[in-house]
Amino acid sequence: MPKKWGLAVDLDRCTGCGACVTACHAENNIPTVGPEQAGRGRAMHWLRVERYWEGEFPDVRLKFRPVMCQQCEAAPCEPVCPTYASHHTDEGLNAQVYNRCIGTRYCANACPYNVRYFDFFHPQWPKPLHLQLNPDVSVREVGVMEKCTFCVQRISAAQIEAKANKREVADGEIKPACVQGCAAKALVFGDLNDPESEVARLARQPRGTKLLEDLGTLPSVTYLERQSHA
Amino acid sequence: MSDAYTRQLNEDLLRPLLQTSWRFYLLVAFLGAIVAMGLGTWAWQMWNGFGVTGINNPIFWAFYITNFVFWIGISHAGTLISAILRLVNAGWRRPVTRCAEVITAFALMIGALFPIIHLGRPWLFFWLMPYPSSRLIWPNFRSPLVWDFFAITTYLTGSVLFLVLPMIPDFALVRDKTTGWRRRVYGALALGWSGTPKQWHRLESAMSIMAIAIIPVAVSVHTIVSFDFSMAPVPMWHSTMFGPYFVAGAIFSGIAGLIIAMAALRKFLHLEAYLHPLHFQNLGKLLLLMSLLWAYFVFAERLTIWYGNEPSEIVHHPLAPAAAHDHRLRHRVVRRGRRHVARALPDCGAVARPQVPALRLGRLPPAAGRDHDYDFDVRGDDAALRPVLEAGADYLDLGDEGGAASGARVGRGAGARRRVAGDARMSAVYALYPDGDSAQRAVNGLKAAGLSDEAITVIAGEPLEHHEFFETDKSTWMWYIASFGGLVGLTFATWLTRMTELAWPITTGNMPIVAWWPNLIIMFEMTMLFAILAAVLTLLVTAGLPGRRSAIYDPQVMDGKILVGVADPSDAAAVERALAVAGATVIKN
Repeated sequence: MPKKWGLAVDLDRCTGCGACVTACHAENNIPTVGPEQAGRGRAMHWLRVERYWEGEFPDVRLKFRPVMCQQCEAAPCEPVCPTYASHHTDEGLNAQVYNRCIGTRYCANACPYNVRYFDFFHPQWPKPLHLQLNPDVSVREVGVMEKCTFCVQRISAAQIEAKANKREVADGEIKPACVQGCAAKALVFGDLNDPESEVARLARQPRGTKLLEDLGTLPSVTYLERQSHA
Repeated sequence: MSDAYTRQLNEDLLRPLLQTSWRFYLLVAFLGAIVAMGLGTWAWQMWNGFGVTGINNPIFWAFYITNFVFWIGISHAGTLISAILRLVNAGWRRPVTRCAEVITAFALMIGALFPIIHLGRPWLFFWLMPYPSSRLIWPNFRSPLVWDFFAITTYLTGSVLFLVLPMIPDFALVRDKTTGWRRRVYGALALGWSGTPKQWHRLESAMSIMAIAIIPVAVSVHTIVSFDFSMAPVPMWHSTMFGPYFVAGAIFSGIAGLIIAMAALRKFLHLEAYLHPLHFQNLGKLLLLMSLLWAYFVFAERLTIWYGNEPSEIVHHPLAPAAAHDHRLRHRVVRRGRRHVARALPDCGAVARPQVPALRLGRLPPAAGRDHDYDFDVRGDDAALRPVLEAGADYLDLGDEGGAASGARVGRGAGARRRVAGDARMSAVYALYPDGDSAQRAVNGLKAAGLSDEAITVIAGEPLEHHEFFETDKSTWMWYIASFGGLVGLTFATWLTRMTELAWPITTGNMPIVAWWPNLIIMFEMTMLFAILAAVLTLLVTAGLPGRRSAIYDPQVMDGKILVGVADPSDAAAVERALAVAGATVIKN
């Protein structure tokens, strides 16, 4: 059975610390844009933590929601791309081929989750960030679209390793950078087609919701809604 | 209608071609400077990255796409209107059509530039084309941008042909009226046009076929432009009425553009005698009609959104209650409702709405002080570009398809003695006649003298109606050939789309690998393109274009004379007699 990679996010566990964002930047060679462009809203966070204030003062509480590419099954970003830069893989990933991208930005228009990021300027890694560049991930040129890949380089590496040892990839063996970096263990990654995997178990929970489910995009990310009132 | 009138007409319309004032060069220099500035800023944008435009997440499309939609809309002025007026046989269209078609051709060229300027990596725009390349991948026919590519290619090809074909007799006119390099250049452009009945009839058939083909193509072009927006699940964009909405807006702005251009031409080229208040009145009525249609669409859109009260859409409504915004935030609808600006200005800048700030998704403070400096330059570019292109084109604006000169070129008087140009050894006898009736008498006389239809040469500076001698060679297979060409196009596109999708079976958006709904669009465009090309090819082959000019020719046909003659007559004296009886000075050679 082919894999279908998915992610579960337990909003009860998320503390909004932002470690996942930092880990994502480090792993995926995401360029920094500098304070001025960040102030204009051009910061590139493949994964961002959204904050929502709920209730009236003084009875307020804060809710965090990490939002990354939802790796939709019926992704609106894919068919609009004229060059197949954005397309679907056999393992349910919403792939982005940077070399095919000509920068129409149509995919970002079509994406209802605002998780696609455009290289508005030449990418830069101010010292000493340049020492941190990951050789497993290509850097992107100015004028192309980029986004969360579920750390496809780690998925491939684990699959190659498993194949070399003539075994299956074990559940929990693959950890995207955000999952690895989450101290509260709010993020769980795995194969949704394996009913025994932890992510599939969590996705079946009654707390599980999808972002903008009514759009019919069939996201692969499940949010476990908050129960506690702490 | 005298010889003098015809000469005056030709002189009036040729004047801007032969005399260029310093004002023209000044205008070209001024507009050219703006174009150069635009190119400079484009280079700056490519060098530094797209960020210099001020376009920003989450509104990824902005003024370039607005400009694209606007100019493609303007292009609906010409060919569409010209084709409709041709089909309903509106006589007053004649002075209007050439101007309209020129607007179409150049507005399309400008419009088609903008999606390229808009690209993040514009130097790779040709990746939208299916061609055997080292990349080993062909475009995705499910993408509306690929539909755009095919639709605009078809429309541009059709519009340029629609403009240029009826211009061939006018090139021939300029060829005969000028000397020196102009004569050589226009002689080449005229493709050896003589003006035989066969040529006129073929041209007429080709224009009718193209008029029929170009109307659905024009409608499809702006519908597809609207699909760029309505295919995305974006609030307010994802609308079934966008196709007709955009088409109505396009024709509306197109007519407005046409009226402005005509007013300018009338004033600066002193064409008051040819562009009458009647033309402006009739176009004004069309403008009123389209504005009412546009208003109807605007009302339908606003009412539906307002009444439906869907949270993601109602926040964009100008009459949205303030509570709608709170309501939306309370329910944390993360759906973005933005792009309001780009979408609010599909065609008509006048219908500007207050911009509703994009929902910030609680990430960063709203962007402040975006650098819009470059907007101005590149925006100014196209407005500057068009007059430059058009100023050049107006020089060719000589009484469209002999239309402005219609009826005026019928001269009085006799022919003149001429040698047949080109071949001194050939003997030919021909005469020039002031009107169709005397030419008819001459042809009848020649036939009575035992000459066949094929032996008699007839040449006219404009198509003649109601004369038997001009009715020869009227039957043509062109309609069938064009239909067959369309069928070939349909087959080709069916193969192209299906083969591409099966050769690169890449899943996108959960759609089937062979996606017929999008493929139908490509199939339609290719059908029309091939039908048009087949008609034009038939015209060129059967009318002998490009080729040598008719063996017997006299430039005086451009002054309204009708030439009747016989090449290599066996009995020159008999021919001469027959021609003279009909009432012309016989020319013998």
